[in-house]
Amino acid sequence: MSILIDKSTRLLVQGITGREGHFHTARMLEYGSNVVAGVTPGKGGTQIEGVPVFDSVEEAIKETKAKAAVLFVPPKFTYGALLESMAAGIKLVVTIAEGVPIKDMRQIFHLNRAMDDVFVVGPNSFGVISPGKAKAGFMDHNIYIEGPVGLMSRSATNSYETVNEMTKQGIGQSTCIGIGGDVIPGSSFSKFLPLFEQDEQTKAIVMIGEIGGVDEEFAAEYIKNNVSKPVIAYIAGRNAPKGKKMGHAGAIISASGAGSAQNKIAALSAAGVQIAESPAHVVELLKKVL
Amino acid sequence: MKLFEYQGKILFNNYGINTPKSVIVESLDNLEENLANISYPSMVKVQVLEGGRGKAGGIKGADSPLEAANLAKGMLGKAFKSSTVTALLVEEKVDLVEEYYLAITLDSESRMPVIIFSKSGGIDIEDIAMNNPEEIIKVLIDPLIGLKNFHLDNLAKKADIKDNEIKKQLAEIVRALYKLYVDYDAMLVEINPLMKLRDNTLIAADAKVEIDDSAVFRHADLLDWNIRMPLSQFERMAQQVNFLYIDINDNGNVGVISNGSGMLMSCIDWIARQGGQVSCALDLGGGATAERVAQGIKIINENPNVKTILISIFGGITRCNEIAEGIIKAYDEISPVPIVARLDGTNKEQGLELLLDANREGINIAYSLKDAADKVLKASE
Repeated sequence: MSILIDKSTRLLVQGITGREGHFHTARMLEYGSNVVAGVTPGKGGTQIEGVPVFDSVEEAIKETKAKAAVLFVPPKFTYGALLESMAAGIKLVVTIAEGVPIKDMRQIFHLNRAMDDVFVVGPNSFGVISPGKAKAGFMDHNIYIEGPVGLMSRSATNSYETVNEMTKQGIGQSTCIGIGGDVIPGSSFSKFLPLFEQDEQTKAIVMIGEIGGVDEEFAAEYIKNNVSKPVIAYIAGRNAPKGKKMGHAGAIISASGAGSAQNKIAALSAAGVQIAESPAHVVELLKKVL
Repeated sequence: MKLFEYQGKILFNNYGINTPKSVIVESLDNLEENLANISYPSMVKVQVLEGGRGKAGGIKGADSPLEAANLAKGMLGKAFKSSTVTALLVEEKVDLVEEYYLAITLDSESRMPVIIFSKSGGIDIEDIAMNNPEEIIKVLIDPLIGLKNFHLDNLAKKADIKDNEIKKQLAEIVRALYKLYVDYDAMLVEINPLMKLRDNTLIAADAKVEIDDSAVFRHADLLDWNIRMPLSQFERMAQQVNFLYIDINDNGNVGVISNGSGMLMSCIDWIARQGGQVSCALDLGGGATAERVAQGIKIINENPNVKTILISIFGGITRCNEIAEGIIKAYDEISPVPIVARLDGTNKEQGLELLLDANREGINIAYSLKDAADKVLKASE
């Protein structure tokens, strides 16, 4: 099964004529993603890698019945591009850009609050991949293999590290989602947990969190009452200093200590989640539950 | 981006929030003439981004323009905490009867703007939160709804403000502050203290404004101000070549270099877990070339506390052969402190082969995060 995306998902690429959009469209096609349309205002009627380009998302949907979108759009145009896709009825919007203004994402987050069936992934995310099926994003797909573990991560590098270790030891993945490293991600752990819980392929869930915000705490609350599958979490930043952004805009412990790794680990442990000490330890723990 | 108090107050005034009458002193030219534009006694305040100015002697009273001028000469251009004072704000002293606290920021749970108000202002909000949490009033604003009269009524009721004149003034200030918060992509707008004067008017005695770094491009007036946080020597060196450098622990002796925020944090955690301590960290970002890698190593090596450097890479866009070439280049050019390199991901084999062939005494190869942490600690002994 997998979640969010598979071979049949009709994908459109916003910003397909840009350097990154073009390059990763080729790589997504190579992996097996069903890229049916591209959108760049003013470039309608052209083609990129054999994919028809349209001026607007609405036109692209009308002609190609696209259901999901991935945005290779600069941060200052992300808000408009996200709204365009959401307004046109796209159900999965993946956004890659780093540096989207917080006010823009705050608005998207609250607009999305009431839309249970619309998933906004990112920004500052590597995207979504269902190994062996399809991907929407820029991750190096060679490290993934198909299998039973659903994974969500705020950090790209920590997820690569974990996935690489899993794959080396023969443990594959159902779907891997880049939550993104920003202060307000479009959707966080709790929004995807019900999908993994219901997905037949997924036998265990891995969460890679980090300091900052309260998404791990919210996930713990949800897991306690609603998730029957084993969940393993790794939280980065236990030894990060207070009051400093650790690279990601969202990875910061406040001066009062809010957002610390210790709070998150305590909440997740109390919800029955197993805590890994490192990406490699995630794999050790997975072996015991699979 | 944080603004200086006087800049925050310019924005406040533009939005109709009253502040004490003041002059800004940025040079000693025409000093006394400039200072004669306000009445005395006044307060001379250094304009720096660090907190705790008062305690550190950055706010002083003056009874005359002459006294203010003498104070200004002793403060302007001088070092204060880690800044150099480039401006002073000289403000008329006001006749206050009460001090309130008012701020708007992002509530991390609801992800909505939150108005925070307390009748016990004038001191650190963290202190109020710790000692008298019941005195802090919070009102969440759903950004899809915006600030409405019911929010303001709720605020006044929760804060138990009975005086109708004060209630009205507070509502106006909150409205203006919320508009400023939204218009300017602020992370924080804070008035502490919001003073109630003897004549029953409210006035913003301080201004703390912080803007979302990702949104500064939208605000041409802020770009003109070009405010820079005081940077440490190494932060500055790294920023000049577009790396992120973070001081981690004063007692640490390991420098960490990685290619992403998450990996950086994982390395710091692993070294701490094995009993070591990281001094500083540098993020190469994605796709670093050999030249850039060597540059990063040179910066970290400049920090005298660093006795060992850990370079941990999981290459996606970043290619491990570039990393290896950069390590060897830096090693041959500056003979840095011992390096432990742990390479994985894109072109890992080529990278490892380069390091093995180079066979330099001070470059140790590690094969996992744990192995890397162990080798780092051994090398720092």
